[in-house]
Amino acid sequence: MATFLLRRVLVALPVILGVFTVLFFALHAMPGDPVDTLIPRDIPSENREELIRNLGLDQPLYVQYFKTIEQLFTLQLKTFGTRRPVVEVIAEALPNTLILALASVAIAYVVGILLGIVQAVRQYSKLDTGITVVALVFYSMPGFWLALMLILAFALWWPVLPATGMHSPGWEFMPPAARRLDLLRHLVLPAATLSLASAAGVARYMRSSMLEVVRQDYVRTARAKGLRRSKVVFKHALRNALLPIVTLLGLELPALFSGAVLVETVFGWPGMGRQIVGAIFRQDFPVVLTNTFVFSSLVVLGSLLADLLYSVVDPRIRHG
Amino acid sequence: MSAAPVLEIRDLKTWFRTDRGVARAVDGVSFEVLPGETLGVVGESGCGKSVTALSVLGLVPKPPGIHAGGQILFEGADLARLGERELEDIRGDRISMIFQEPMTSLNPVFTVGDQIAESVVRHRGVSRGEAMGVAVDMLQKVGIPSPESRVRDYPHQMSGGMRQRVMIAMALACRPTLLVADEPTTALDVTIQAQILELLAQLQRDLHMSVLLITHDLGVVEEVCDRVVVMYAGKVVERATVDDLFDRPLHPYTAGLFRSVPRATGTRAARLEVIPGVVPSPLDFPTGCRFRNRCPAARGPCAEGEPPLVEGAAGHQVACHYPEGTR
Repeated sequence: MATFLLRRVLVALPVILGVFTVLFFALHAMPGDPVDTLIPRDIPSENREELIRNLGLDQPLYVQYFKTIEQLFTLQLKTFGTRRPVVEVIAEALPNTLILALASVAIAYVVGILLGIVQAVRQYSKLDTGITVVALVFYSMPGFWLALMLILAFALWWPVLPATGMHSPGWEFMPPAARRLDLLRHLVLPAATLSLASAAGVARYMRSSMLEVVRQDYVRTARAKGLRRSKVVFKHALRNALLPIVTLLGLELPALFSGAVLVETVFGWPGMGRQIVGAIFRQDFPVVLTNTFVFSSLVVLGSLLADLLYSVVDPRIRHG
Repeated sequence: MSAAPVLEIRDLKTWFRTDRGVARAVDGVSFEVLPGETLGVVGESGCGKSVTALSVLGLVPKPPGIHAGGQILFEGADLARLGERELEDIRGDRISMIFQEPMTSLNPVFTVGDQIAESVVRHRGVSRGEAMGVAVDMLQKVGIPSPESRVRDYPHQMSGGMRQRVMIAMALACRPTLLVADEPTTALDVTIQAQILELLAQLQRDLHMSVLLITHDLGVVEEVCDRVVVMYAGKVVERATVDDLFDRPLHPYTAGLFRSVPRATGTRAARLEVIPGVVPSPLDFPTGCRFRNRCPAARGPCAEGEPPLVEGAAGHQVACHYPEGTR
């Protein structure tokens, strides 16, 4: 198992570095100049030159590239704008993104798996068809449009939930329980936007996986033992049907993080996704690069976890 | 042999609704299983023997399956009329079943001990710990070495023969009165087959249970059965004790089956006979006798009336207008 983990990490390293490299040169190929976003054009040119020197933008590109990598790994990288350490800036956003991402994964999988089971158990019923139709609608709906519709429905027409942000004004002075509730209320719409499409996908997978499994001989054996139908479905069939879904979890992570970029922007969620978008507009290269680096590491880590989870749920993999 | 039967099937009809019409897979089957005996049900693939077995436990998937008539009498109840929950109480407790494919019949993600104990917990209401003790005992009984450690094995860690032993242990954990064995040795190597049959026979004696053995293998029938039911196209065509049937088969189909079994004796030049044609589709049986298209003895009247199952010799019933030896 240790060698397996080590090998996976070693394979992942060039991938992460590759993402970083492509992005680095793409950013520098972008039209515009980061300095223009920092100071007005009529500033004397020697001050301008000094700023360029300070940011290291006067160096040849390959020097900048290796310098950035060095600073990234020694945590010395600073933002172009405020000259704060990027680590610090990202540390503020990372927990917020994780809250949103974890909530979305949880919703997507719990809802998707339950719906898939219901559909498989009631195959070809009106309920099955209904869920299929609704799932397809959400699956094909673009996230940004769904986000706007949700805001329209639940923040304007029927104003029960906040449309943007993570906290209400004055939340610092609330008691802890009210604070948590406040956060939860702000979480509903962005998490729904991010999770509905993947919940629909999970439901489709779960349905077919369940239908495949209930035809297996061992399900008939379980019934021949006299087990209650609920136990046959929720123990014998479900456990096997979940195996491909665990693999899906690893594959879904990139979609989840790229979805977060959009959702955080629409809902003003102070996470890494919104930070990336802002930093791209400001051409704040260190912030974009570090955020992306963290995202790609999270994806790699997530699929590694999914693989580990797979060996937990499938004894055939555990014992080789 | 006059004791009340353990299981009595009367005129059982299990049909399937398909897109191309109703498939009459089991179409008026009657037989009984006596206490302590092994009754063999033989026939070609598709003759309805497995569906008969599944019907006994109510395991025929519905839809598309339908119970189109008949009774399955067991311990004073008609199983065909019981609800799912009542059937669940009987399955695995009073009647158990083992299947053809030991490789796929065990759940890959649970230990074999778990899967045996589950049945005991379900029907005996004991704790999981106690049930695991029963599982170890059962593994010992079915001849699995070092059962205390094997009980924690997963199915993929065992061979086909071992898995079938586990299936048997699971089926017999609650000491059922009747074991339905659907081709239990078909998927196994010949040497393992003999071991499993021997094991079944020994456990049957120890537990005083009856066995309904579904098979297409006449060799297996001869070895372990007391009486035999021969099925063809959803019907019983012949019913007799093993000795009577093997000494003097009355139905031309049964006689044909015997002639198509390869034998180690005799001359090499003797060609193996086959029954011409194939089993008719259950969607579209021939009128009259269902075997007449393939029957060497068929003549005019066979196309008209379906022959009833009648006493052809003492204790030996046959459904044929012109049974062997009368022509």
